[in-house]
Amino acid sequence: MRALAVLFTLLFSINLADANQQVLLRVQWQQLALQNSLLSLQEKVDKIQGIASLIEIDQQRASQVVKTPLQVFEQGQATQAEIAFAKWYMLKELGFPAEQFRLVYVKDKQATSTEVWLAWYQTQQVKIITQSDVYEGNLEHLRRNRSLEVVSVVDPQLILKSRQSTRTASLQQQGAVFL
Amino acid sequence: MKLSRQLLVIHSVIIALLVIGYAWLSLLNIRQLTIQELLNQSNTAVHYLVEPLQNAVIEQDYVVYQTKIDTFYDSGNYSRISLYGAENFKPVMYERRNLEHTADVPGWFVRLFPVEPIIGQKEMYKGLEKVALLEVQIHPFAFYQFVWRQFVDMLSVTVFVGLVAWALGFALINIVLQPIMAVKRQASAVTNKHFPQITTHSGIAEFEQLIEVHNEMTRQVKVLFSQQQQHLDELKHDLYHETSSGLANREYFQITLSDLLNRKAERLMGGLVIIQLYNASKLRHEEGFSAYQDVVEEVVKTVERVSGINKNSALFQLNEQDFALLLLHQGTSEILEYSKTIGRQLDDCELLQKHGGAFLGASEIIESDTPESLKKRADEALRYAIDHDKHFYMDKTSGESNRNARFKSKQELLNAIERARVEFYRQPVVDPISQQLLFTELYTKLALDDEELSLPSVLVLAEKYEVTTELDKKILSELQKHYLLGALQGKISINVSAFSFHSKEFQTWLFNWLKEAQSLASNLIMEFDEIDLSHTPQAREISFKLANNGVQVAIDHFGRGSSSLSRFSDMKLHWLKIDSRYIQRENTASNRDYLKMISELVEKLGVSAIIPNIETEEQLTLAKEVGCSGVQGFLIAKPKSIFED
Repeated sequence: MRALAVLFTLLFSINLADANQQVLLRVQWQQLALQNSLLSLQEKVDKIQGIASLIEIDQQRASQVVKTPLQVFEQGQATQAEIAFAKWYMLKELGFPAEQFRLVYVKDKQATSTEVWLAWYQTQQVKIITQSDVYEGNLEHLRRNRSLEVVSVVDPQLILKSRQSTRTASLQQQGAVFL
Repeated sequence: MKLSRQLLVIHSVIIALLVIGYAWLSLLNIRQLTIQELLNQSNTAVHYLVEPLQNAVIEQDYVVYQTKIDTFYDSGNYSRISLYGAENFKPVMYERRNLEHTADVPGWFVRLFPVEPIIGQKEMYKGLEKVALLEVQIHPFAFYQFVWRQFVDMLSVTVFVGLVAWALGFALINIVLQPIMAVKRQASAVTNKHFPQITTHSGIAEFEQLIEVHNEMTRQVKVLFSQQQQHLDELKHDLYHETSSGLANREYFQITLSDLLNRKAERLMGGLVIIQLYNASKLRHEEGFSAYQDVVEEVVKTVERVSGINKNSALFQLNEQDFALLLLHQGTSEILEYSKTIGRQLDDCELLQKHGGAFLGASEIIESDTPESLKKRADEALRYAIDHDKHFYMDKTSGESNRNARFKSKQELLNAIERARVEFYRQPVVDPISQQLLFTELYTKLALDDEELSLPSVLVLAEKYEVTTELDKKILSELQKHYLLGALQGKISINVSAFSFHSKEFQTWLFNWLKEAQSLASNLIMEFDEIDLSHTPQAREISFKLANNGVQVAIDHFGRGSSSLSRFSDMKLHWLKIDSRYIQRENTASNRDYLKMISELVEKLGVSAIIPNIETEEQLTLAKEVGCSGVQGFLIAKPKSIFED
């Protein structure tokens, strides 16, 4: 009987762990939204980077940039493009000027891999928000030990606008809340 | 508002709303789809163009990027392609544009569906450095042309569908309303005592059942109503009718009279005649009830013959001996005529004569009459007739029919007769075969202050006011004057009222006058009306007295009354003028037989028959055939004034 109970608990423990992570991501985002007025811009960017680092990167799948942050939280894993778009969306919600951001698709020639960053075009300089770090200035910092090439720069607002109907339809299907 | 109209309005509004709503929704849908499609087009176009341009922009090879933009612009349907520089996307590095095209659709349609410019945008980067922005704008006229075409098609289809739906709805309303209206009509007819059956069929089982139920209900109501009506009629008949004669009784008479006289709004013209069977109860006791009933029946028949019994001439039985005849819309002359004729014809009822005959009292309706006053006057007239043994007497009060009469009182009439000028007209009476003159009839015309008076109306008033004696005296005196002057020659005839002989004074005057005018008397024929003469008790005695004075006697209008020759058989009679209706009506065998029989019969009695009013050759031939002694009429000669010769 005891063995049966252990087996039964084990069976659900994996799903429970997943559920815990989703709740964690959502709670952290809610906390961040509540603390919004108290934090500086840098702190906000750092917090968002913190939340994004908890999401597992899955490079095998094709990107669906239309995903909302909540969809990404629920799945617990996403492509780099999806994570970058979710970050932009969260920044927009926290009051950052959305029109100053661009999604930057970068190719690492040596590793033959692709990364998606978020570039913040401020009046004087460009701030680059990569997967794990935040750099100020130009690409030279990053190019020191890597051979990187910018493949494409896209305005996330255009993505949001042109794919809006698809997004709204899929959201309605799932009964989800956008944010 | 009627139910049918309400349904029609509601139905029309629903159809209109559905049609407009559907058309509107469809148009919005088309608009949205079109915008989406054009947006996709602009995005695709900008992505397609940005690839070849990017290198040329980075290398600042303006010849290449301008050429590329030109080729793209000229070969596609774009209203604008703009290339902006990096610095806040300014300045414009190159641009092609033409926004002036019109879409060839009505202005109101463009205003009804405003559309934002559809622009595809793409930025160009050198690494992370922004170098340019490319914009491709799709021309809106493509949108309007497409949506306008859709709108026109949609409108025609929806209007057509709407019309079909409306017609079907209308038909449905008719199907539903038809039985309801039929039932409604039937119900209102039932309230007006008509009981029609609904014969239209809608073909819908429920309505058929409804109609069947209503038809059955109407049938039952009809049966019930007719039973009820019959019962009521019986009760009413019992209440208001005399059992012995079946005539309306005193109560009904009272109601009718009150009802008539209380209708003050309309002026009532007519009169009341009371007919009394003298000693009716004695007759009943001595001769038996059936004999009495025969007499009553004779009264009814006589009235029926003379005036007819209808709503304008109603006969009531007031008690065992009294009858009331209510004559409506009749003037003095008709009331006089009917009363005299009825009285005259009742004289032929032997059973009635045996017990004292019948007396008639008449009175005209006057404006201020109440039922009581009218009855009182008629009763007084009757009493007067009985007291003076006159069989008929008419009250002297002028009624509505005399409202416009020329003379309103007896004195006025007497003055007029005295002042009137007399003019005689001659018409010859000739033998039908030899055309030999038998005598000349004189017609009298009266004129007062050069105004011609109608003799019949003067005569009616003279009879009513009993001044025929004065009229006759005047005419006879004038006649004598004309005779003495030589204006009149040969045998002449003149009409004299038999009523005048009721007056002893007139008789004395007449016979004195005849003695004085011997030569005129021997050439004179006096014509008396058949009915008037039959009401004159001393007719026989007078006829002999006249004959003794050399005056011949003629009866005029024979056949208008009861045509009883026996009545005149003991009179001294010379001429008999047959009533003109026997010659003027259709030339039937019975008329011919009657004329022949009368002519032959009177000839045997030594009297000559004359047929007046001969106007055609046919009538003259008939007169010859039946063997009458004389003819008179327009065909022979028209009446001519003596002044014309």
